[in-house]
Amino acid sequence: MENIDVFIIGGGPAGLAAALAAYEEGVSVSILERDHELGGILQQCIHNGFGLRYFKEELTGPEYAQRFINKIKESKIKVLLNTMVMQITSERVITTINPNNGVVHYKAKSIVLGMGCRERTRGAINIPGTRPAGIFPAGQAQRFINIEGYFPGKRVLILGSGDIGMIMARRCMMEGIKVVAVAEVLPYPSGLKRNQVQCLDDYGIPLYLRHTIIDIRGKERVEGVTIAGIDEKWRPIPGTEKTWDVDTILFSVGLIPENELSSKAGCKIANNGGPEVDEFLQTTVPGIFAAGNVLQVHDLVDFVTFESKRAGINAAKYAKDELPIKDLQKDVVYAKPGTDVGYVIPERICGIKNSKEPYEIEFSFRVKNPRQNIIAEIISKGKIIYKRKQKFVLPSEMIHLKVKLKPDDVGEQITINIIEQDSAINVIEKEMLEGS
Amino acid sequence: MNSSKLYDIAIIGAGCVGSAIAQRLSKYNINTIIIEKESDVSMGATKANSGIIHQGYFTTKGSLKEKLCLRGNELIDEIGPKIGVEYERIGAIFCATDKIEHETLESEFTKSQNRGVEVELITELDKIHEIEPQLNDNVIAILHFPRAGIIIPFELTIALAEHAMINGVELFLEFEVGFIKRDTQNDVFEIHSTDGRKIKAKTIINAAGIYSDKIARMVGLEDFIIIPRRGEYILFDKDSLPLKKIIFPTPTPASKGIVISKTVHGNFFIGPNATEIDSKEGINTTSIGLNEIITGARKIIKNLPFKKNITNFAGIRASTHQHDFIVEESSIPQFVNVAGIDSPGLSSSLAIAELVEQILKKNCGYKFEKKKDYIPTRNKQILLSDLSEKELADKIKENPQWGQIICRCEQVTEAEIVETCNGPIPVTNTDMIKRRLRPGMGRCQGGFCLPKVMKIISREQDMIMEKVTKTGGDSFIVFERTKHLNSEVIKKGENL
Repeated sequence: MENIDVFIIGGGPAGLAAALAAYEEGVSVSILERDHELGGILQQCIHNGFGLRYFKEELTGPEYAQRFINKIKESKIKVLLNTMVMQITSERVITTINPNNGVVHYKAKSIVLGMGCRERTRGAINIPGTRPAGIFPAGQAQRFINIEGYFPGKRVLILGSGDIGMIMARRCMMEGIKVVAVAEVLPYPSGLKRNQVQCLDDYGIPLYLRHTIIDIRGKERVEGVTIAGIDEKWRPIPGTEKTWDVDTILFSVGLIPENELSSKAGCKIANNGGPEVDEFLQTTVPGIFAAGNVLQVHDLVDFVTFESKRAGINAAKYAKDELPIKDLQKDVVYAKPGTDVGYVIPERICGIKNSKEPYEIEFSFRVKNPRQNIIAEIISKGKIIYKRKQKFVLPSEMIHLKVKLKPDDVGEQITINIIEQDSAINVIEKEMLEGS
Repeated sequence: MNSSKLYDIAIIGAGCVGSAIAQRLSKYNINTIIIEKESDVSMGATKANSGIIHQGYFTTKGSLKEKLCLRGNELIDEIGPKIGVEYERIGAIFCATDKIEHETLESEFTKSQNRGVEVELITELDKIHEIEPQLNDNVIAILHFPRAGIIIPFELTIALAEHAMINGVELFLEFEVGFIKRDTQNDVFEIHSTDGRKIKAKTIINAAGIYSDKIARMVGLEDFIIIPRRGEYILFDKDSLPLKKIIFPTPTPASKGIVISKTVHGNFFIGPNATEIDSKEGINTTSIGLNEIITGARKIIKNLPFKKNITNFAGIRASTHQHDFIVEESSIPQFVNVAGIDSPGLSSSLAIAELVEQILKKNCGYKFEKKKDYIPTRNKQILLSDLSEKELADKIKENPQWGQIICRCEQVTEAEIVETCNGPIPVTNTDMIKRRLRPGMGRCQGGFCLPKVMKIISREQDMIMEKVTKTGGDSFIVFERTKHLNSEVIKKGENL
């Protein structure tokens, strides 16, 4: 068995960036990929809009992936395709199977988890009706059209205005598949604004907000669908039903980080579905790092790349025994989501308590509701220790806060809140008055 | 498939009952055929039910249900291991939350003791929660039946049908009976399909489930009607709730109530409700029904893990006004009705087959001569999960398809799917693979593996992708190709 320092689980955008970043730190790296090619889901995302932040130019998904794949080819990174990771232990022993090599074990000095996510299914949200052919997760329909080259249907209704759903609405229209409507259970679109404009509005596809599917008809293939408006308790409102004859229904109702391997390795899984990590993106199992959609579902692949590079660098440092916090897990500060914040990453900060200087941390999180004129604030020991104004926040867009905190300001816990500017100013003024 | 061959026995319907009868008869030198309107066995009431081996509880004294359920519960130990079916006797508990329910359980306790059934009534709260820690605190008494168990209904049925086929029973799929002619001169039935095919048989066993009244009417029998009763279920992911027992509320005269039980594969489900419906094909779920079962389950257990549900589904039970099974030779000679098989039909199926064998022996005049070359067992297909690492490594060396994982949720390899495709029952659709090997059954519900499974079926059965269906008939998954590409069969060596 060859000696390889860092193993990357998954060759999608997260794994590619993590592998290259780790490799540049001078360690040996291997990518374990279950598919027969690198690139992950990017390979089926043939639309453009990728790379604006990272490459400062607009690329398609396969183009974005290819830039990393080319670099990997030039490197000495060992890529194992058709290789399924069956198990990872807390001692970082990886069990893989592969048609050519059979069952192989690897002992990693460090690991980056980059398994991505899966689509939430119709069953997971308890949509009633029959269960005929013609019901697809949106990403699967995307695969059928873009990779396999088959029409998954002719007349489609899409439930969920997530990015994949909206992009698939446009993709269907371009292929000549009629999209009768997009229904969304929330009072606002759950994907990016630009996708609503470019994918629905430009194609005249109606979007029904606060609506859900209340019935699916058809025995062998989908024959029809009925949606209805819902009240504040999410119950269908009688009289608001709308019915279409369609042969296909696409579900774009959210993504779930795939953490079955992480969980079995002993990584604690946080409420957002990803592993709990510290500021080095290290999970609760030493030497196992996580990045990309396995950690948190991202809005833009560019941010996956940024995050995964950090994970790759830290994994390499861990392998070289250079990661400063290896033994500093005792004085942990916990970061908690506060008012209107869904989750916060990292959940744990290990290095700050023993730092002599202001300590830099990169937080990322999502808000629960769309808001205007807000302040993102960080609170610890009952005091505001950081605040930033922002004009708009949307649940579909991740918020990134790169902050430098003074160790003395921080207690055992910090909380991130989103509050309205007016009330925030009042709080601050009040505090100033009290302080004086 | 127009067969001029004269069969001794034609079994209409390949559910658990029809398949159990076929399996039972396959040891004799009797020409037997099963005909089934769907593309697979196990597609009616058998496909979607609670999968419980009951222990005769809450049946009417002296009824066929009582007798056959108890006998069926015993027979599974004899037949299950022979045909490679997994089941687990995890025990069932009925829960009382008030005095009246407690009294109902007490009376059932006495009845069960009189039946000679192993049973215990437990009222010590500590012991109740030790037996099943997931119960709500308001449960004051439980009736425990340790010999009740769980089984996957379609796994049992597939195993029964395959074992019958190994021993020479024929199976015609997608043969929907259109009409039946009686040739009284020759004492032969002619069974015609809706698409113009025909088979001849001396005896008919009507095990057509929800359609058994329709089949009976084809020969002029109008003694019973089937009332379709729909039951809805919600299935949860593996390991999402550590259940020890099959959990029932105290039953009412109308139904056994909402069950909470784990499955042989480590998932768990809640359901069913019971709604009488007009359509025999009404296997849709409803908002009202799903809410009903959630509310029902919450009355009995504490921690329903809401984010862990995988899917919901509905099944139809073939109930009658008689409220008991109908297993008898009808007023028409050589026409045996096996009808009204609702709960506990699955538990009773092996005993129903035994009873049908007795009826045939008594009335139908066949020589029940044992086959000399009878194969007494059916080997369960070897699965990835059965193999040690060393065994898997050897398998991969022999056949690299063992090293190609197709379904990541349930961990199914290409080799297993290929073997199933070429099994005794020809696989033509993705649900058949799903029922046999579970790809698509897991948390992603086929989100990743469906195209791969379709490609394997295309390659193994030499059919273009557009012809691969979800569940037979016109349940096509994809239509024509985009960009005027040619329709193609997936070739060996092509990436999946």
